[in-house]
Amino acid sequence: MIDFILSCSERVGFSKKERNEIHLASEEILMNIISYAYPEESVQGEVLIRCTCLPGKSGIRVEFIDSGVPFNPLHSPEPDITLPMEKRQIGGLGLFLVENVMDSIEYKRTSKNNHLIIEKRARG
Amino acid sequence: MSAEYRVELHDRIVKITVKGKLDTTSAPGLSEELKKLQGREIDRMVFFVHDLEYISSAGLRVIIFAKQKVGVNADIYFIGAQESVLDVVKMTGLSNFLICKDTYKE
Repeated sequence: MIDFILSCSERVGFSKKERNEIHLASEEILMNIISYAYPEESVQGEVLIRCTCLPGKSGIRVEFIDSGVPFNPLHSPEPDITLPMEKRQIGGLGLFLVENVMDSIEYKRTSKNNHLIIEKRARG
Repeated sequence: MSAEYRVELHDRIVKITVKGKLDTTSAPGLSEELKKLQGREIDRMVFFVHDLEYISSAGLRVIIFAKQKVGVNADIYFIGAQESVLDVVKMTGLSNFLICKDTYKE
């Protein structure tokens, strides 16, 4: 799935650093969906990924759609990054990283689906 | 390629060499290796990451786990990180609590 997103991003002139950041954001979001969207083991979950080049190949828009439990990641508490390692919680850094490496992140809930949309503009 | 790693304990110093991608797929395996050292006297944990190309939050959790559960009183070194890896470590503030250097002296 991440390879698909990265292959889409190759059509835009992203630098290696930017492609790494898209990889990072995609992994964090997908792991979040896999870990939390479908809590019942018997439920088979699906994730739809839609990649779009922004006009003039100026960037990329990736939409992750799942039909799992409603979850707005933008309401997750921010980790305290001033804490020393011994006082850190083991989790909670993933979405923080997404917000830091992407230019925008948007969540919406439609009738049955979570939509998480991220965008990144190429800076060359 | 996911990650390749090697963990060695010698004279209370743990040396961890990681190559490739430390992500959701590979990080749990490294955590399991480090778990084997729980209870040992450790003064220093040194991550050699020259050939680490990518790290995600799963990889960062390994470093936090190493400090919290393995080398509680140890200094944690992070040696030779590539820019993209170091950027992620800095973003999360962990670089303030790691000894990040290009090269390592015994």
